[in-house]
Amino acid sequence: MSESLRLRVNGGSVAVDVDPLTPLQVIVHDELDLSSVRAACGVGTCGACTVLLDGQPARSCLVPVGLAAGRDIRTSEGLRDDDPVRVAFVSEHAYQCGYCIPGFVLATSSLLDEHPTPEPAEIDAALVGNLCRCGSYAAIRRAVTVAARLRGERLETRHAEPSAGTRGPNAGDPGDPQ
Amino acid sequence: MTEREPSMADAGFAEVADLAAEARDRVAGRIRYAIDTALPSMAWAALVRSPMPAGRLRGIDVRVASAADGVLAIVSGEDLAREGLAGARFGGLADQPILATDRVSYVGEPVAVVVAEGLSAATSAAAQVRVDVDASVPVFEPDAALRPDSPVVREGRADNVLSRWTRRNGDLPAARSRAARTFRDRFSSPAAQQASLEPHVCLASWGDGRLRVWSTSQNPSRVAAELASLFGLEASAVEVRVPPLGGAYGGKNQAKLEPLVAFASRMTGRPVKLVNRRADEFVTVTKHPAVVTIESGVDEDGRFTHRSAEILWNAGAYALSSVPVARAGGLAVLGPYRIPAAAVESVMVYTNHPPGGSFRGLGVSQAAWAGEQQVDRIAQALGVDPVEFRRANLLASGERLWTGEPVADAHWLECLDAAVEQLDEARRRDRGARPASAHETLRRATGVAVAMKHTITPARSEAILALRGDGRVEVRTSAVDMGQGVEVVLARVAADALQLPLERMIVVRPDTSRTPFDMTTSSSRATFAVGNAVEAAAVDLLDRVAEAVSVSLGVPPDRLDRDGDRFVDRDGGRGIAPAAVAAAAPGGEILGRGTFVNEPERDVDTGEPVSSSHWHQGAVAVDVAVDVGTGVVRVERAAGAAWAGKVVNPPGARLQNEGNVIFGLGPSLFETLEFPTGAPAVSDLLDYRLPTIADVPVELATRALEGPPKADEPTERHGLGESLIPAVAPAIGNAVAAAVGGRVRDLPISPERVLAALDAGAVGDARDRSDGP
Repeated sequence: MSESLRLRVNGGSVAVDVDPLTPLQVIVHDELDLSSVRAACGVGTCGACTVLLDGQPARSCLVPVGLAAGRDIRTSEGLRDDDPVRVAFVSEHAYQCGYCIPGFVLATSSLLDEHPTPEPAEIDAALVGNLCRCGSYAAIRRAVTVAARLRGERLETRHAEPSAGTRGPNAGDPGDPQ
Repeated sequence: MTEREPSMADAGFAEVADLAAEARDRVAGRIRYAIDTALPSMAWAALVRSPMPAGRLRGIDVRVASAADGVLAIVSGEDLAREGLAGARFGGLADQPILATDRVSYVGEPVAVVVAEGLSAATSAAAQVRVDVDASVPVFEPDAALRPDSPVVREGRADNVLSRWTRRNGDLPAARSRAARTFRDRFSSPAAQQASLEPHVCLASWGDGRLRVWSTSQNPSRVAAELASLFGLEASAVEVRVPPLGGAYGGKNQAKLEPLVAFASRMTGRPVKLVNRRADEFVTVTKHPAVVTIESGVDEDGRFTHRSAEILWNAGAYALSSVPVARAGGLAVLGPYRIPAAAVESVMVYTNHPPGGSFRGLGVSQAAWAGEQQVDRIAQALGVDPVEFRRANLLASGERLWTGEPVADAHWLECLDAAVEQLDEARRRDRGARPASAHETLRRATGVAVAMKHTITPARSEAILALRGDGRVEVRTSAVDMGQGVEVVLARVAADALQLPLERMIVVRPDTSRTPFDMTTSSSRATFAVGNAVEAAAVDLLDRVAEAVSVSLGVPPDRLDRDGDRFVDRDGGRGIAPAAVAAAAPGGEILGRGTFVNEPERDVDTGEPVSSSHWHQGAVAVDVAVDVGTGVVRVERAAGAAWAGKVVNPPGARLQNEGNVIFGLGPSLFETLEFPTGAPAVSDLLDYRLPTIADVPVELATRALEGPPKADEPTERHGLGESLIPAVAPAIGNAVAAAVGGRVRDLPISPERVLAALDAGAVGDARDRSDGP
């Protein structure tokens, strides 16, 4: 049974005509062509389909799209290439096949929003719900630490030059489906 | 639902023109996998699978399903028979039908393909197909399958033996009588699942007499050849393309879904796509369970007098990679030690399990779990440090493997020393260990193990390097990118050999209509074998370019000097850029071709070829903490060292080494797959536990060891995909035994087994104290 829903994705707004019980993952990946939101386990345990719902990591394979309507949905496509988390994952080579990595990047973004300089145990706790079968976890830990440093440096720069960079790190919007 | 306009299936992955941008795309989630492919007018497939492990297939009832909305066709063995394909077979021993026809051999065997306009229509219709099986008695265990009265799994194999690999060397009876002490042990490993996050996916389309396939395959050349053979096509009429894989770990070796998807597409006249659901993955391919019985004798000085082993493998119902698995495990089980007399019998047995396939470590993990734990047990019994015992017995270059063949290039001692040294350094940094609690229930200990793994010998890889008119070079091979970074490695090898900037290289992804033959991207062979083919192609390209320039300038090739991007006439001073010559060449490119075959060296004494052109070599050392209250094992620190020869891409080498240890934690500590009634007891990633970031030791140090193999030979580049994995479980097992006094002999090292070993250790593990089992 289809309903017309309005989704707020990466800062834009999009109308979809769907069964509201359809998993959000299916809609953003298949209908909105946001390829970073990946199907893998289908039971909310691997994190490959991670999106941020109102800033919090959520397993989009378990979220009925009807419950996501009206909320702020962020996917990896909503980050900029110069986002510190992305930059750090690239520079630390924190990826192998890459299937799981956008989920790790979003979970890291959310972690650093709450804990700008996380302890090792906090990093593990924040990312324990994301699986990387290739086994890049050691590199991912290094990337999170580097990302925290980069974000800190940018904040300092921003405070020093108040006219520059008024946009938040997540404000870029190349993935806007509109 | 709104229909998204399908894009061309291979848009976005056909080549890597910018390695740096590709890295950013991978992190951003922009790269496309097979699961993202689509074609115009594409239909979806869902499989109907056998509910029974064994029996005669009486028929299928499709009346309800075929009337369902959106269903285009239900393709089954009847269609195969009508098309003359009921007897067509593919796979490791050409034992696998496209779909089950007259009988079923495992729970989950594909029986029919439902093709529908959408995925949900296909899936719900498939659930409404009734499969009628006249069930017969299944056999699940190899020892039962070997009994004379056992049911027969494969016709023509009355004894259920899929393969038997045996090797003997030296005078075993004499060596036995020389042994001061003899040790006999039995170790086992269960099935496991490769569990790539991207499942198996296949998209097939027919047109103009050609078959086009997009597949999650580690060996597109072989899949293309098998499809051509099955459907009676010229080899050139089949195109297999492979996007980047979302993980593989051996599981995507061998053809699996491609034949049935291609057949369904042919029957419906539509492009057809099939995506395995997670539960399907658990019946598509597994790791081979194995039971190893191993005997070793040592003399008064603590040197091996002999070792012998029998390995009984559970192949499941079809061969896939079972023959090489039995051989790989058989070669590795006795370890890289000086062993004067030895015998191994490695027997692969058909059962009614889902088929076992390649699993990162290919049979060596099961073998090393036994061989390397027994080494520790011997050292313990002799009162010798396990590291020192290994040092005294490990092979040096030029010595002979237990098979009698020479090992030209042995580095296990260096690997062991580097692993132990790194673990010592990690301890000095003193991180990783959790603080002792008030009620301390942790016991800590150290364990080591070494690993030896063959590479397929002989095997062929081909490469084409194409210089284009714009000065860029296409690196065309059929090596599959599955996260191991092969595209970076091949681009670097090509750039170095051509003395051109890396940025000029364009790595073309596998497309059998465009990229040349490669045996397989497995066996950790791509860096070595495909790398050598690329290097040979570079030499050829430079020759072809010199020829073309020579013709263009009208001067003989030996008068040409290379000056940066130009070739210059040494005498006349005229010059031209090769790119300009390429632009004017037929097709707008100049091609260099290279082929590499790792022909085995021959033993100078016997003339026999060696088993492997080189050995993947590694060592792992771990510190574990065992909670004696719960039996939970935590790896607090880990160190590994693998022989690389020459490292091509240092960050990639580090990822492979670290990934080996991390991946290895799963089968060591928790991964197991049981089939109590033929169906998998777990079939999702909630119940099948994979390692998480929290399982990874904070101190994880690895090294890729470099150096020339022999004084007079060029340095070789070796892959690192599996050099450490086989050592992980026995290193942890050895550490746990040292911590609790008893030994866990069956994988995984679960809390229940650790507690049982603790109980055994408390009274002195009878099996560990005595020589016999």
